[in-house]
Amino acid sequence: MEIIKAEKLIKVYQNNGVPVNALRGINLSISKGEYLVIAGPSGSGKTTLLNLLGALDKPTEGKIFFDGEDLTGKTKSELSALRLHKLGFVFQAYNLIPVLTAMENIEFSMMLLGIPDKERREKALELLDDLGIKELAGKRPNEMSGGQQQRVAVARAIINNPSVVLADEPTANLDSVTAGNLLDLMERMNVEKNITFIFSSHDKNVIDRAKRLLILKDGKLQD
Amino acid sequence: MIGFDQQTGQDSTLVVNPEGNKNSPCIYYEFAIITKNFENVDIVKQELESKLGGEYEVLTYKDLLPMLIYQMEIFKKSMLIFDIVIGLALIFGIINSMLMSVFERINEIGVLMAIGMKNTRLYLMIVLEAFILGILGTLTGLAAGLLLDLLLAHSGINLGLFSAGLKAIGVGSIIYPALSFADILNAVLFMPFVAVLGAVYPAYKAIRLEPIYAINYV
Repeated sequence: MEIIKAEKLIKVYQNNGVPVNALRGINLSISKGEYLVIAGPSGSGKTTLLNLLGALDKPTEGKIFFDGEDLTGKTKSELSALRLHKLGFVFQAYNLIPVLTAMENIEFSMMLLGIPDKERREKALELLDDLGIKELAGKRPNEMSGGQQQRVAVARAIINNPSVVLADEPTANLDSVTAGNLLDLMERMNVEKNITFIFSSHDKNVIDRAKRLLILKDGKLQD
Repeated sequence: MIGFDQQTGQDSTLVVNPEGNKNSPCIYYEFAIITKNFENVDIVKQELESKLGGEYEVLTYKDLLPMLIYQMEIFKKSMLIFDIVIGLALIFGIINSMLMSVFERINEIGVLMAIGMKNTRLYLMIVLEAFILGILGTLTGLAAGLLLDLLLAHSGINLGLFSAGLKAIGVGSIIYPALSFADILNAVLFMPFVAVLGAVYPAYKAIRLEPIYAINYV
């Protein structure tokens, strides 16, 4: 079952008035439950493509369909709702809210969905326990290691049972052992919860585990 | 007039008794009466006139110092302008603080947008933050103001340097602060809403951010 489809995606940035072609006509189809890695050298357009697929940015030309719905004409508010209900994000720099504890960071997106306080807490604790990081519940990001923060970020991304999780260079700031553990965790979530994972990475650890690999070079997908 | 009696407590119960103490060695030509309440001056005047009859002249500060009325009006207008200037300074202060607060948290705002926070909610979050800051600021300012008021209520503010000028307009050289319940109520009701007004523009700036720009903002 196709969950994301991209048609002739073009993204042009303006860099000090000079147009930069980040993506040059991407056609792509992603099915539910895939574990997909978009690889390529720096500047190839991986993050740009991921941002477009995650409705964080809009293409200059082309169309993106999510669950058959065209995203290009949607308003900011509709895209926010889509991200809240159907997408999860894992960033390279973890991007947890620094003043909130691990538990509160995870609870936040549930709060946006209007889930009652008690239910939120139970679900967050259950997930933290499932991910083996229950002891981090009361800790703030500055009290956690990079690997621990990224695990909390994964928990935040999957707590609302999204259809798709987009992970932008999730292992870039982690050592190989910690990165391996994190990838184990995401693979498990992919299998157990049937969540589609889309990575952008040039980390060999991530590429080697890909069930589907796309190579991006100079804004184009390679055959 | 050879006698004067006053029942304490209320301005309107002054009793002038010209037939009172006839044995008094003093002869008074002029009395100065201070009313407890500013608004009672005219009532007391009328009462005195009716009791004393046409033989005596009753003059209020308005009759004696008409210029004082204009000065008081000017003072009231000046205070209004002063309040407006303070209010504007407050609004710009809050705009500045809230803009700083938004710019310092652009990354966080980007993350909140990425995980699905809608613009309306983000807007309300920032405005609510300003409202809470406004309440806390008002209460802190009020506590400090009341403390200062209590201290100065005893000692007063000595304006001895300007005593000659003040005397000319019938004002003493030591002035005392006067704080009414209405002043406190105005501050409590008005200031948090001024804070909200000051947060409108920063909140608008925040929701105008694009999530991808905000997340990658350094």
